[in-house]
Amino acid sequence: MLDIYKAKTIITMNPSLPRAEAIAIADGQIVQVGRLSDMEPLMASREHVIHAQFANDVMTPGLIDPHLHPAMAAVILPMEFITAMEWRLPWATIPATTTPQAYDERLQALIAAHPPGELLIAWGHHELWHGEMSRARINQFSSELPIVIWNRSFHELCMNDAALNMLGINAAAIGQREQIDLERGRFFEVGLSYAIGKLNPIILAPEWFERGMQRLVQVVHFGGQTTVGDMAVGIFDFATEMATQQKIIEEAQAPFRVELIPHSAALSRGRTADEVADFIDTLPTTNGHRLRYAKRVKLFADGAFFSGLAQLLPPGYLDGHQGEWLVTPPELEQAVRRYWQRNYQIHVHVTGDLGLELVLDILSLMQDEKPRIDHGFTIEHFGLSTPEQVSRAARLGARVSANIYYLHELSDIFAKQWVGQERAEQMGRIGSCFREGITTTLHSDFTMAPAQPLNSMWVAVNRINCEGNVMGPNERISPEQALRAVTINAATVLGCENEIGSLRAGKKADITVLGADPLTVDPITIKDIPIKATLFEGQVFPIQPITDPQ
Amino acid sequence: MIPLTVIAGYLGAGKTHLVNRLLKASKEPIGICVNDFGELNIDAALIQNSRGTTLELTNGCICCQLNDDLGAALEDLASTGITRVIIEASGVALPEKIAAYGRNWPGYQLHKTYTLVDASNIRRWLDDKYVGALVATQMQQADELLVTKLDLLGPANSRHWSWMREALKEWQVLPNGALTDAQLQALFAPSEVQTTEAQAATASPLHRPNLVATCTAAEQPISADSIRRLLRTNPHVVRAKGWFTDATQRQYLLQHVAQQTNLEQQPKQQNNSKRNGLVFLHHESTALDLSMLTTQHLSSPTT
Ligand SMILES: [Zn+2]
Repeated sequence: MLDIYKAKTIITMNPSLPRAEAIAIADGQIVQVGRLSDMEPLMASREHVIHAQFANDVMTPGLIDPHLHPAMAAVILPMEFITAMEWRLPWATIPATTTPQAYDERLQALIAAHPPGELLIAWGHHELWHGEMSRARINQFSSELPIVIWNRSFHELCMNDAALNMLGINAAAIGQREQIDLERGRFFEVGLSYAIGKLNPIILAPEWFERGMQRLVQVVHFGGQTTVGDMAVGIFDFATEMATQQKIIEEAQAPFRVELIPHSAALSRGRTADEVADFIDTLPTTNGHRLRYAKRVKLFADGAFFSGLAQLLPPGYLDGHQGEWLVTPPELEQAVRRYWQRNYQIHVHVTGDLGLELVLDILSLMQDEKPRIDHGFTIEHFGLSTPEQVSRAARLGARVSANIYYLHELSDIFAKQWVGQERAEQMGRIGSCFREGITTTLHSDFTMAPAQPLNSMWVAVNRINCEGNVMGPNERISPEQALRAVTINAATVLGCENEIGSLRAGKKADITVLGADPLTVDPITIKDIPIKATLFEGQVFPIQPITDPQ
Repeated sequence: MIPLTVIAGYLGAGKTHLVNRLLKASKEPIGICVNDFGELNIDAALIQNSRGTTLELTNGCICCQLNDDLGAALEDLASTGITRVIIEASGVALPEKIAAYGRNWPGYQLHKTYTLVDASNIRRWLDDKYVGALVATQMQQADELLVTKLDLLGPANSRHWSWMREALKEWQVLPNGALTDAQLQALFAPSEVQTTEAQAATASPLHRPNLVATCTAAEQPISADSIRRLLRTNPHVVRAKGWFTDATQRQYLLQHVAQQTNLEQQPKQQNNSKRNGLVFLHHESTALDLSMLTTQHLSSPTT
């Protein structure tokens, strides 16, 4: 059986045939892309159906987010959101809540709708908009329902009496602590870790985790994605993560596949580093249809960009604070060598320009020790860099997977507080990457940024930050480059470019159906293009638009 | 309140060596948290010294704090009734960050932070463009510095040593290699904490039993079921760990803590019966009978 879909236009991302009007699919695979009339010989010889349901829509290759974290999403997505920014989620558009009064009203509404006795966690509190949070403030809305308010940055939380009782946190257990303010029910830094330790039996429980994973499936589909990369399998618990993905993604036949990249350090318990590598070698033998390992591994260099823990070259952070290493440089070098020698594709989390300097030094050393050409070494995140480093990365054959959302959310505050305007404007230096011919992709690192490739494209093309200012216009990329980044380049970075990432005969029939052409619309509207459906291996999965804010 | 001592220092400063020495010398139980990625070298010492407790940690949860291994380890240790805890920080950790656990984790009190300084490499590390700032900060955040590897200084010894004296003059410098076991123990005996906290300790209803280790080389095949049954019926085992092989030649890694038993089957190609061996840490008041460990699956006679 042959399924032929007509579209207003098909953007193939195959440079030899960039546009088409129809695509013929059999057994989940593309048989032919081109003009409908050219498919007549095919139609003459085969039973077929011509589908017109997308005749007025635009098709692109299935969108790919090569770096997100299903396990983190699974923990966070069952929480309620009360946020200063609007969040478009598949089950609801969360409205922007920007005043203390609005916050309290929304919290009360959530309490009213919540099952009695069951813990309610509301994420997204921000003092600047929502006012100071305290135990007394939450108590006045409910003394019976256990409630936890978690702030936007996840660095602080606040509980009411019922939650403190439920978790067994009391004055006798706490004593005098600097980072726990029991009077006001607030926990931060180490105190926060203590509170989370008490919450973990609930938020890491199988039911919670499965519910979150189901929501992640919706989120990925809603973003129009047909492939994602889990860029640190084992980040919480390897066995639980795999068992849950097996159930919720493989067995329940989610409309996308997950390319799995193991977090080697997280697998090290009880094993030597070589034993970890031997174990990772065996993982592809466990591959299913949607969950797949390959010769890929994730390593880490410097700290989190959001927290100001990236390692910076001089002049460093202007307020004098320091970034952090997640592992000592000699140990990182040893880890890279271990997998380089085994011919792995190595993905390194690196956020600052000093971190990047180290990683490029190591890559250069590896090339001296054992030259490899098609090695796929990938710089993950790519917060701050220098133009010289971009050239050097190109010479060494590295790829770049950028979290371009840093520029949108952080460039304003980084300019004012941490690195100054010049360096803040040049975070996510991806225009240079394209000019240097580096295979460059964009990712969300969800839940760090929305898992919406159209949103990532929008930031990369416009470079508009949260204050509405254009940052680093010379580093903007074209809509065509941005679409390349989230399709064929993402596929290449995951090592799957022969199967997915463009629409041509022989590839998997993974397609995203859009309501407008992202290459010709006003670039400022790219993020608002409606996503109508995805096709995963030829099967149509419609996307319902969300209209009513809660 | 349990006194908590932090041992920090950059890669190769001799932290693990120091901890092993301390474990061997100590007569009372010490809780050890190793706050590090990767390979560990403490288990052998644990078996030599039946009163140690180790917990393996992989710090570096990058994205968020949902998975705080160090805090979880402190909770587990507190529940065993241990009376002092030492954290061996990772080579990249800032001592202040680890010390914050001593100040903020309920049930604990910070004793002291030591940073170990590798005399033979310190100058190179301080000049290193990647870790110079880190190593300097690790030194600044210590209560005291312990200088190690003085014997490796070589011919440039005296010049280097005078440079170091100058560089480190603000701190009390203790040449680790020259310390006797008794002096070493004194460094880690938090006497002043114990006196100030004496009342709190006696007022606490918490029973503080001593821990002992029962070991087996696990040379004979053992079934996973019998391991589970042993741990289920002996709740006084606070921690167990090790490798064993069953009758069908499958090798397992056992990790048991806080009444949670985790058995991980190893891929065939990684089987290595040479590392078989099981350690059970339990309260000394109750003996642990390992004869229950057999090759048999237990289902048939009981059901
Ligand atoms: Zn990530």
